[in-house]
Amino acid sequence: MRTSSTSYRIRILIALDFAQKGKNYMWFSCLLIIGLLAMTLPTLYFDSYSHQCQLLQYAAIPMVLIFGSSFYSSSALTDYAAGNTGIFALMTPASMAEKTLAALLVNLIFLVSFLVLFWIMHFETMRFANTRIPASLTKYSPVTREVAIYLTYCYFLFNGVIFTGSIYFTKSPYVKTLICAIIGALTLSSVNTSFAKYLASYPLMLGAIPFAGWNVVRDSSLKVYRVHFPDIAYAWLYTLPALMVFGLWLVAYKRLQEKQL
Amino acid sequence: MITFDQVRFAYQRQKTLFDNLNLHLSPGRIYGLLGKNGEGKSSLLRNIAGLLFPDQGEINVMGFKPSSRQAEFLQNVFYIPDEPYLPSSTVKKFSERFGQLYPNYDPSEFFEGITNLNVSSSERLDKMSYGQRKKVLIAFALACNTKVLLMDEPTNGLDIPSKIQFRKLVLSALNDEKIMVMATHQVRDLENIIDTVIILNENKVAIQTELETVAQYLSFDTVADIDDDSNSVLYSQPGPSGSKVVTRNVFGTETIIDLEQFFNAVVSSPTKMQHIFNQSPTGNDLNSYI
Repeated sequence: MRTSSTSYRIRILIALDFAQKGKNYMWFSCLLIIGLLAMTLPTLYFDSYSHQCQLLQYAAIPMVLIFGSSFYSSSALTDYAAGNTGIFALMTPASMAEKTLAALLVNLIFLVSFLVLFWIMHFETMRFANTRIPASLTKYSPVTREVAIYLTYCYFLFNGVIFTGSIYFTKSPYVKTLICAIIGALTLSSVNTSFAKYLASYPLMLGAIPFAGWNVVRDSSLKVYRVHFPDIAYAWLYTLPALMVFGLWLVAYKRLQEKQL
Repeated sequence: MITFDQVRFAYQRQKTLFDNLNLHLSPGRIYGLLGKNGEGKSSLLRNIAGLLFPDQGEINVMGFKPSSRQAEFLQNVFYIPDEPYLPSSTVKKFSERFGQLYPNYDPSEFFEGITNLNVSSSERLDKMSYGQRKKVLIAFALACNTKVLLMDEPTNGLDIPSKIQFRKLVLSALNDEKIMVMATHQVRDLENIIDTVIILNENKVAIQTELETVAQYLSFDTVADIDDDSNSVLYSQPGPSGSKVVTRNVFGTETIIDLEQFFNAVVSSPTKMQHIFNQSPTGNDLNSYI
């Protein structure tokens, strides 16, 4: 009997995935790249600062966060979710870990490539446009390094949720996961803000987003106080979302292991 | 070898389908799994395949625990569901892509099989009818040369010539290492290939016996009149050319086994039949009980 290794089976599973869903992946890629180019390239057509172009650059961020992180992942494990397709997929000779890993790798190939492309387009188009604008005039301002890291974490977190949702929901997984993710994000944000308000003794205004510091306005002087995390907490701030992403992948794997059809 | 040891299985929020089930299936045999609708034939197959997990007890398939769904286990078990799914590609590409995952896959055997079943290798799987898809999956399953082959209603959707070919292919694929289990309502389609029959009735294994033993203990005949007082008739079914009867084979005469009549006899009088085959609910070496 010929034997096969884990890496051999994963390679075949990835090849099968591309053979099955290659056309869909191509369409998603085209759609996302066209959208991305349409929102970042206009910056290059002007010799001076354009507010609309700056807005377009920032408008690309939610598009990347919501659609870029989810289009490929929404069908990552749906084959295993239900029905005769599920039976065929579950009975394919590879372990559940190999199947999860193969789906995850395909997912990451697109996910990372698109995110890298987005950040290159975001920073490079604005950098190039700024070189053509005289120093005395308003220039384009890309997102700061911290914001970029924060958005990257959000991108992977959101992707983790969609990836896991693709095995949890048997019907309309994308829509159901999206709804759950939005409700979850809003709830987390509300709880975080309410808790921050309570700790800050209910100031006049308070801005707090999960895994970030607070902006507090205490009175009518409208002076903004920035409350940063202590230095020791920053290590956790970088680790915790990563752990959450790994946790979500693990949940998807466990769910696949427990799947009965 | 497949063994069930004190297995209990129930679907969520539904009554128990099997309880305390013991079963022993040996290699080199073709088992026919018979039963009325809802008796748990498909669930039994899916438990063997690792698609469903028992609530209690142990299932062992060739040394593997099916619910773990290890790669080596899946390389040696093929399950053909009643409603088969096949991905969208041509028959040829399907063979190239999926055959690589089965260590004993023989493409020439597959193409010979589909040729015998009258399917073209250039056809697209997603454009095929139900019967054609089933033919492709049967040919593929046999070419994978897995040690365990589970088929749920394998002849459903097959035309008459294909049923004949199916029987030939199955018989030629059987060897001393393989176990084939076929769940079916179409007993006549499988009459000549099954060598052991397992009948599920009222969520129990009413009988598990070899067909040789059935021929040894029972006679199958068609008679014009049945004596109402006759105790030898175990089951009778009136027909246009007389009544088909199942009687005890007292004189050791050889008759052709009518599986449908045998099934009806077991389902209508399970206790009497168990007594004849020396199988009681408390169990013995042949027996498997729920």
